Amino acid sequence: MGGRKSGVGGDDRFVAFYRDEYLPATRLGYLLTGCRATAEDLVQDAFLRLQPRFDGIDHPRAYLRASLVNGARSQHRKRRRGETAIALLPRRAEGGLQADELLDAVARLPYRERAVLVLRYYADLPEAEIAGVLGCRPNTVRTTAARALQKLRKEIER
Amino acid sequence: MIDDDRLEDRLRRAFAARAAEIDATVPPALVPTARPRATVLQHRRSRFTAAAAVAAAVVVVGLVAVALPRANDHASVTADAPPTVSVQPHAQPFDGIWPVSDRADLHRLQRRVDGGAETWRLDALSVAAAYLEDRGIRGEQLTWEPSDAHTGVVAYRTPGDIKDDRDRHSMQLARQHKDGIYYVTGSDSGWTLAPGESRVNPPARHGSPLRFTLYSYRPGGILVRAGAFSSEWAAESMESVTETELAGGDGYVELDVDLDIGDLPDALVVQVLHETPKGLVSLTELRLDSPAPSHESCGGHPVADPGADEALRRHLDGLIGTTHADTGETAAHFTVVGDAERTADRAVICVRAYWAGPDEAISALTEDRFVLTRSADGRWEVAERLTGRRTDLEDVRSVPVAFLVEDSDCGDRDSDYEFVDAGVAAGADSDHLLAVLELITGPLGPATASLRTTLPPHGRVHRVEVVDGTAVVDFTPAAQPPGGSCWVASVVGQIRRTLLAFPDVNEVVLQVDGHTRDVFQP
Repeated sequence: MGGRKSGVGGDDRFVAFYRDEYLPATRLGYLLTGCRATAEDLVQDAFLRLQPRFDGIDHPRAYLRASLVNGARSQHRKRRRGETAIALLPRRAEGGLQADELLDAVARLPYRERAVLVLRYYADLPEAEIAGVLGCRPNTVRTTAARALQKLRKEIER
Repeated sequence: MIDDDRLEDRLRRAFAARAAEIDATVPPALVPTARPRATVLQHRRSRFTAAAAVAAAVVVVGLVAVALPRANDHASVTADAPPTVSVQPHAQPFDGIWPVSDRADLHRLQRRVDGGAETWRLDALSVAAAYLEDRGIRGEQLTWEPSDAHTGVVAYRTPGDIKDDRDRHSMQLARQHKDGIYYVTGSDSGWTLAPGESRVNPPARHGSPLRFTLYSYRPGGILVRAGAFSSEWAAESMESVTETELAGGDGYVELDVDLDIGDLPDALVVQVLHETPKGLVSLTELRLDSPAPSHESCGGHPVADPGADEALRRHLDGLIGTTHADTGETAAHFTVVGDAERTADRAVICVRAYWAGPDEAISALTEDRFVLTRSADGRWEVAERLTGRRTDLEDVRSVPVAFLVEDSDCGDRDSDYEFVDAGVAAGADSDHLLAVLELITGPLGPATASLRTTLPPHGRVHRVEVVDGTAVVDFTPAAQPPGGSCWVASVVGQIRRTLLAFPDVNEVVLQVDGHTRDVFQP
């Protein structure tokens, strides 16, 4: 009978994982939410959710990503009642929108479409993995991405 | 007109530039975004009662092993007889810690209430208040937040707490059906994070010693006690089976707890008490037991090593789309439905497969078992596919299944769901179980292209049982989405709507490994 105490740092593997993945996770959260502080909170929550299960999970990075994407979705649901993404006054550059305007257009997409674009074009995940993160079929990822790109194209050509 | 390649390229650059605004910094200390909460009660050195508990009803979970057509040997599929799978009784677990800790006592107490006595037990807040009183806690501002008809959280605050919503404490209540009495399945002080399944050593759930890890925020001494309740007002009548004192620490600490629990029966309740300078303690109370896994049933049991599942899924993914030369049938979809056996180095996993004809319509449903072995370097490999039985479409009956409409968001409305008559193989399994398995499989065929399922593909079902109009669905932990209120809501929405479509079902209770506490929560 007895107990042994160790800090959070006692689990070296988790600590190393946290150190390695914190920045990429925060960046992903930032792209999903558009807010750095929110992203940091979501990342903390995602790591805390992961920590007790860390040893039993084969792919902690995928788990973390799914947790983050779904946390961002919950955040999006809470926010959308009171906030609406407003289009900036277009500053037309040759060939369409500036990068900021393009991201503003992305921010106005439904969350699922935005998440698919971020996971596909930022995280470079294959469709099957995106489907796993979002809890849908790969075919759904494909159609969602196509729909999102079509909307962006319309914005650009407007 | 801007082409896709250019747009995709611009998106990549825009995302990369925006992401780079987050500089590489030292990650902050990992702390919850909401402050931990505390439950305070008078520290009473009450005694735990070592008593037997858990006389669980036995349910036979039978999942037949049938056959999967071999992609390169289809003839053997129709010719082979189904393999015999021995099915062991699957203990039906119970997750209550107060006022009863086994199903028999619950039924006795329920009968008393049905007879007109102690009707306050039908009210969640009254039960919560009684539990707090029993534990010596003066709870205030009790708030009941049911997550569905049968489970929910009672939040409360104790005198002296910081006046902040985040500093509320909680207990989880559950009941068996709509007229069922409420009972407590756990109490969360917020100062201690309960160990997850993977953190509790498996032998502890069936014998000794008990070994698990706590996460605690509380400085000062920590007392961990483990025992089993034998009666109501357990705090007074408990006899200490074992206890250990641990030094706390400043801030967030991880504590390995090692308790010699001897021949303790299955029902194990653990109290974690934190002493404070005033002699008070905060209480986290939880139940760590679990039924003995059924190693033979295809109904599945808690997955000890998901690596085998991942290896199998990769293998199955490689088979999807393969077409048999003789029949022209294409492997359309695989669902892992359960384990027939699981040891450290060998796993036999049941798989259900759908095969599509040249017209893309599903023409056959088959089941099979795959044998996986662990190699010297620790990797799981598919070693063998056992043949079984194939069911042609003519032998398939249909069950109603509620899938999510493709464009729906979180499944908040009835219009987010659409019912499909899913074809299932005629067999010994109940239609209720088959419908839930169909939900995991997802919609099949071009006619359902506008529908989707959000149930995680790795989820499995221990059992589906309908008693007195209440359908109890017991899943493996992998059936729960990893997070997100939206995802959870849509999963629960699909399951509930699907089962409520059966005329003999009025209520639906969801469980994970037999527990209703904290399951299917975002």
